[in-house]
Amino acid sequence: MSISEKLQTIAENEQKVYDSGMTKGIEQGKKAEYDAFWDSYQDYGNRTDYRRAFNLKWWGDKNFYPKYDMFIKGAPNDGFAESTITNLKKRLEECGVILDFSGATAFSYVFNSSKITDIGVVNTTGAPSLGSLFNSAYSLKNIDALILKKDGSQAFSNDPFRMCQELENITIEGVIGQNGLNLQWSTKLSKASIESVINCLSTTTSGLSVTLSKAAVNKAFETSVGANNGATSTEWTTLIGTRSNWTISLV
Amino acid sequence: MAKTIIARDGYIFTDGETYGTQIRLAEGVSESDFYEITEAEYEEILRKNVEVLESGI
Repeated sequence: MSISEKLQTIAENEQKVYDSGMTKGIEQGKKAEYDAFWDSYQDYGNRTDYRRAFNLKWWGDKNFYPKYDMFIKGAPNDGFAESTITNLKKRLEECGVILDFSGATAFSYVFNSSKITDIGVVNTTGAPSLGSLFNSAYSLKNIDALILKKDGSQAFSNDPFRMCQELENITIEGVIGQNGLNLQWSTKLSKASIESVINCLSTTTSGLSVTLSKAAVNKAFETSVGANNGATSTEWTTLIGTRSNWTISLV
Repeated sequence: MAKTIIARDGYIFTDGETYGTQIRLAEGVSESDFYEITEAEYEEILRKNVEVLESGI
């Protein structure tokens, strides 16, 4: 190797060392910036009031990387309203962060007009009412589990599922026993989800009604592929026959 | 035995709170509690409900 070649190699190596240090420095800077923001925003994990915390379109997949678990207390009203976060469940898993609603005492438009498609577990047992929890969550497709009180005392009076037009999958645990439930907007609701809803209706109340989408029932309980006749199927009538204390409406 | 009522085409059954084209009545609930409204009337009720909800946001 000639002297000029050696000098060239040294210069290139120096550049690589410089670039490497620069990259490391940027990463360190980003990490420091990330920590500074989320340490402050989540009060080093001590924050419990998430009212309007991730509200409006500025909160999306590009910047929603929470650092600490969120054990919510009080009323997380508008917590994710109008946010452009999409798969909330996946992002929380990626961040290794728990979102726990069990300490929430009220729910007002928490996911209103957001772009959220997937939510993991929503434990509502700390609240006397579901309020307008999922109201106008136009993009919501999957709720892994909606946990209700076992005594059926929670109110559903503020249409918690109003305009949930994309909702396909929901598993409900607990008992629905106060107000009627209205899922008429969810025309894509799966069979398992509809069964979950019916099976959660209290067997001891009277004077209550549940409304479902006739299109969803027709599809979910159809007797053969494409028949679209589930609302008259034996399987459907048998299912709702287990809750003869409820008026069950299809619209 | 629980009864199911089915509205005529273009109509919706309601008792003022529950709406449906096909309603399986709970035991003890009378068919006479329900009456038919037109789909247009139903759409108007939905529209007004949205206005009430949005004014409360």
